[in-house]
Amino acid sequence: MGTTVLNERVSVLGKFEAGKLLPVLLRWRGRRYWVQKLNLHHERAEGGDRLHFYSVTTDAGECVLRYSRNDFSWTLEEVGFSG
Amino acid sequence: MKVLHLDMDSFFATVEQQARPSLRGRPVGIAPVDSPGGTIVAASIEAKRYGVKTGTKVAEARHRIPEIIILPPTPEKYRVVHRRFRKIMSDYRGELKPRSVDEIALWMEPGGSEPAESARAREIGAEIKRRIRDEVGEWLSSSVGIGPNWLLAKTASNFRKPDGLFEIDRGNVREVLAEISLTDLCGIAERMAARMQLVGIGSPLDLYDLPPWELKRRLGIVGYYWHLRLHGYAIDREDWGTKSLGHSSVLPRPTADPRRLKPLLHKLCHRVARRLRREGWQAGALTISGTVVSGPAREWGQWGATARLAPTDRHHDIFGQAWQLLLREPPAGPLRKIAVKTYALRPADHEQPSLFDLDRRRGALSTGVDRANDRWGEFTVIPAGMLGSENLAGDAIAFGQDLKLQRETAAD
Ligand SMILES: [Mg+2]
Repeated sequence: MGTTVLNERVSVLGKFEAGKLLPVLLRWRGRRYWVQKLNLHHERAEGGDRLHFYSVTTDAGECVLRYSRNDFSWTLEEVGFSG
Repeated sequence: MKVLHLDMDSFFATVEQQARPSLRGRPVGIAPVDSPGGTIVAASIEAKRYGVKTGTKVAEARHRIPEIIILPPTPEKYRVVHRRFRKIMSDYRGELKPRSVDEIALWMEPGGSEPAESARAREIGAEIKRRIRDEVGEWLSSSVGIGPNWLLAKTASNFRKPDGLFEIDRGNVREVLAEISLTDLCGIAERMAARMQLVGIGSPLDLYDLPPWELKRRLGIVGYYWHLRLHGYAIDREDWGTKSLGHSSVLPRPTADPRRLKPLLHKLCHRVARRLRREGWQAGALTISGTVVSGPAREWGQWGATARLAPTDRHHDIFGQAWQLLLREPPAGPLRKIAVKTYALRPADHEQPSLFDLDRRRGALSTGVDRANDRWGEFTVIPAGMLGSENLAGDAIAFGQDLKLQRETAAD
């Protein structure tokens, strides 16, 4: 199964929809990827932080984005390749 | 009365497939530890086709399906999906009870005829299934079972898995029970099944078909309860719902003496039975409870005991059970207040398996007594045991078990 754990900081363009933050576009290693579909969103409390996990499909495959409520940072947790 | 039981199909694995579309259609096993000795706690629908299921060892799973994908569980995902399908189910009228992370039961609000309730339950079941896919995740498949009590609803949800929507009703219950085994019934484990087999009960159909007295003879009261459950009676606590009917009374002088409580208990049971009949209910469970005065400070405490009933609206049955309860689980101190409450109410017109022929005669007599009471006022005609509460009830003509009307003076 082609899944790679990355944990790399990425910049994400997000939108708020019905009170929820959703990722729209991410830039990683100089390339842009459009989020085509949100497959699942879940949260976890960690220390004093609240982490949001977005399992999404982009135009280049699947990935999991993590958003930290503490420092408003986005992390690309893992990428997978369909096949 | 309809219960709708929703069970998510291969829940953990399906949720992982929802999060990662590339896993869809592939065999997936969820195992906390991905080592040969690790155990699969959930297998995807695809993996189940090859015989991999909950409890299979990882090594065994890999042997059966070399390309199986083993993933660690992520409970946060399962919890969020649970919350979201529970939210959807809470849009429908009735009482909602989660049974586990992937199962929720809905005791639908009763209303309308049996066919109307059935049609509504099926409609709502289909709608909930569709909404879970639309609003939570398109890969999330679930199975809905519908039945007159929780056990049969749960059995129905397992009967056409995955992506099922199935109702067990009077018309198909025998067909369903003929196809499943004893241990497929929630609540019958290997040991109980072995015990049943020992007395010649080899299938759920036997539990359904054998007369209640025969089951009672072979298995004790447990056998009788199974008979009632499979016949659609709401005899289990979860089926009792919130509707209840009861009466209570304050004792002028607190007492713990059963002989002094007996007349009052009779009176309360009489009132309860009468109201059940008037409103057209039969009760499947009963509690007696009260306020206990105890200690030098004369503190108040609560006391209560609960028992099941074969669905009834008769004083004889209700008092019999209440009296047994009082003797078996007596209050810790003098009672200041006593209450009798019945639950698991169902319409009385439902067909009833009659344990004794006598039941029917008692039924006819009860309504005759009700008519007399309607005409002459409450407690003109009361069971003999109620004598002694006549200070509360006025003059009384009592009848005994021999069904002959007789005049008695104050007893006790
Ligand atoms: Mg399930």
